[in-house]
Amino acid sequence: MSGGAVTMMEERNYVLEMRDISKSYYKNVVLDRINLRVKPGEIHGLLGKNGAGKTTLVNILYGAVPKDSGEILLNGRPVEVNTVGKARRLGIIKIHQELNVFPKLTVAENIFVNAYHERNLVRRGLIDREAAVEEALKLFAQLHFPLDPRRKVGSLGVAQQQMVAIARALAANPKILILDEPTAALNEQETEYFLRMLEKIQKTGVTMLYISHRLREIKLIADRVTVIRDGRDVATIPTPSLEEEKAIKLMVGLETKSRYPNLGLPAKKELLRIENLSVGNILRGISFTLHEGETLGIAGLAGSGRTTLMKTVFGLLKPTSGRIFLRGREIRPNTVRQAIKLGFAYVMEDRLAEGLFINRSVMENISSINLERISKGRLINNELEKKIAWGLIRRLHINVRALEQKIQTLSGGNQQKCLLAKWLLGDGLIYLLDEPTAGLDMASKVDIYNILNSIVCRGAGVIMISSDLSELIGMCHRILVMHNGAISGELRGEEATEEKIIKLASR
Amino acid sequence: MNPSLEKQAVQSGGTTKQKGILSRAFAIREFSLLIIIIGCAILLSFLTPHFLTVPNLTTTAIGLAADGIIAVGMTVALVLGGFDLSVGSVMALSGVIAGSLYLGGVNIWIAAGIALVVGMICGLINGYFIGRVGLNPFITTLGMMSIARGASYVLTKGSPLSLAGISKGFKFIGGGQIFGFPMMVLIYLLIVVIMDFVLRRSVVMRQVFYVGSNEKAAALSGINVSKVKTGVFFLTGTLAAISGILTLSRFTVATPNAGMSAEMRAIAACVIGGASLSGGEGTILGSVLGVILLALVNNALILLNVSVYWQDLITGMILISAVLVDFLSHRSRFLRD
Repeated sequence: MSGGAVTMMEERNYVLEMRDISKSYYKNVVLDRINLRVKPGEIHGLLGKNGAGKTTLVNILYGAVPKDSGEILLNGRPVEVNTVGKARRLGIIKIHQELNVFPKLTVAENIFVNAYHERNLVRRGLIDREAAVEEALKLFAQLHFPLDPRRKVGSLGVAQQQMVAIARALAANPKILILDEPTAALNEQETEYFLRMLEKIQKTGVTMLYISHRLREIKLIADRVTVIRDGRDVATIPTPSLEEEKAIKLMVGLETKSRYPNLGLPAKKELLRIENLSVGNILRGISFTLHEGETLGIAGLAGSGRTTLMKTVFGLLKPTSGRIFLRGREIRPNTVRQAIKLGFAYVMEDRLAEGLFINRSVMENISSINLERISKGRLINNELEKKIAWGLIRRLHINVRALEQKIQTLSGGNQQKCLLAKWLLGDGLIYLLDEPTAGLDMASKVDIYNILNSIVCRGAGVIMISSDLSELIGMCHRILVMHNGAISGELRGEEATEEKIIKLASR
Repeated sequence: MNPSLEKQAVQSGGTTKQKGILSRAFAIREFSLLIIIIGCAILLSFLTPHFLTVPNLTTTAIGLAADGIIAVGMTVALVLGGFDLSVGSVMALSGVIAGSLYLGGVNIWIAAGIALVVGMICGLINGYFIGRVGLNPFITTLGMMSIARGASYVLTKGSPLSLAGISKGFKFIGGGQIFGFPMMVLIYLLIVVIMDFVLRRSVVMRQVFYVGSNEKAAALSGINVSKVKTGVFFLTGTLAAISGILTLSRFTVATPNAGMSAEMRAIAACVIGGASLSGGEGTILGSVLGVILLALVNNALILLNVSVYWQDLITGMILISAVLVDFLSHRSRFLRD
């Protein structure tokens, strides 16, 4: 390389600068004068816990979310990125978390979705397939992708599908490629493959912004990393000098346990015992017990098998081996109906898709789990239904104007409380909660915590999945950490720290 | 979660307080529809002296009863988030089966009973494929529509069967009157009253609303989704058969062409009455008012000497207007945030 002066120049030459970006939703500050500087040709990692503000930051860069204040500079020139279209024209392209491909179309068709004209692949108004295939092969040769453009994308593996999405983005010659948790849907081998591919792409000179909360991946792939915590950039470090302990400390900051209501000790009576539960390769030899009055936390990265475990316990998935005991008696719930009869309650992660009857009333949503309770014979007793619904609404402090109010008009926090109310009507013994406070504001979270504590006070048991580690530590008597379909460790509430959990979860 | 939803909540809370009773009443689809119907009726009574006469109103009422009974079943199917395209054909098939059995020497009441059972079986077959097997309701009922219509043509060889000399008792259920009220209309009203009550109050129908609103959530709440679906298509088939038998009694002729595009008229009426194709919404009263509005327009065209060929054209325009009003009022609610 050349002399020091040039390097100094290059140091100052950032391809992208985001200066003092702030963003609030109502009173909720998501980004607080955050700064990000990306050098040309580097893979820049963005590291932070869930809710730290990573996704909001890139959404602002991508034009999907307007910023409240701050400045964005591309190659030193200030730019206004107010729409996604504008971002694309500026050469900022994002690969989404979820796979964004057309499985029934071929690889080539996926890559040139709406770029046939620009790439001269149209002859007399019709698509020239052979030309498209050749063009795709040319692109793959540059990138060293071993892909057949004629294959249907649906027949490819997940990692290869993700590569197709990236190839499509690269076909537009982006200046900056944003990758938001691109490995969330991939398993270990697929991730390895994917990261190798990214290195090849980097050699073609593309700058990449790589978002992840997987420390190991960031260390492997990124040149520098910016750590984000509570909407601020805490540090930007070259990855070679990034130590795991230090990174975790930067991500976590000072822990506060005070906002969690404290709980009593659980009784020592066993409620649920899982022995050696396996589901194919997704869950491997899971064993644990849950006691009366106990809150058990489950931590782990997305894809570690947390939700699969819940679904298997609830009877939605058939275990390939292993046994489930309820109060010492072996059970095999086959249908949801049976699971509910046995005393299981399951609050799903995606409350809009799997939990709520969005165009029905608050009351009807609450009653849905236990129509027997509000009916005489085959008819619904309206007075009884109203009385029971109001009782639960008051008990859980749900903010509604009328029972007939449609549930879609409620805030996320109140919707979640209605879901809990619904399952409380079922008088469950074991509450399975998948990310029960995801996306809620602090006040609603505390309300949910109080409801959970009232559940365990009755002697029921709670198993709770959460990506919010401080919540798990504050709420749970014990925490199981999952990694790759197995339990990688168990921590008692008092000894658990976010550092220990992250270590066990990412190993 | 979604901040826009929260904002929407705040805003709708704010606006409802400012709204008067009248604007709130207009927010209810059935009320505005009723006003439109009354308006049309008043207008029509000024335009022609023939409208507000007993014979005209009676004929119109009898005419809409057959479609109305089918629309009651269709409402439930729409609440489920599906629809039944086969109802018009099943209506024809049941009439034809009763007619040909009668001509073959079977007692007309027994023949009608068998026709009813055939309608139920058609519904159960639809229900089995949609609810148990999991086929798409559009395709399944489209197939059944063709099968039932085809069977009617096969049984009649394409020409209407005349049931001359049929018993007075059987003629009474579709063509008779009690204190000047046509039987067919009374039966329709009876079905409406029962189904309205059942839809609002019964456990089973509540489950239909849950499945239509969010099938996945319904299954995860322990509702037997496939049983609910099967039941709904059983109901639409049964009501279609009842409509067919009543029509046979009224005209004493079994035509394979009976109930042509009745399924489309029924869907239109229900949607005009506030049911949604995406499920979870709809009332029996809405479907009744929708059927009345369409019948009124038809009647107006006849009385005003406009060619009947305009009927479909105008029905279509009313349908799109109703859906458009619905869409615009929903959209303005979303645009505000």
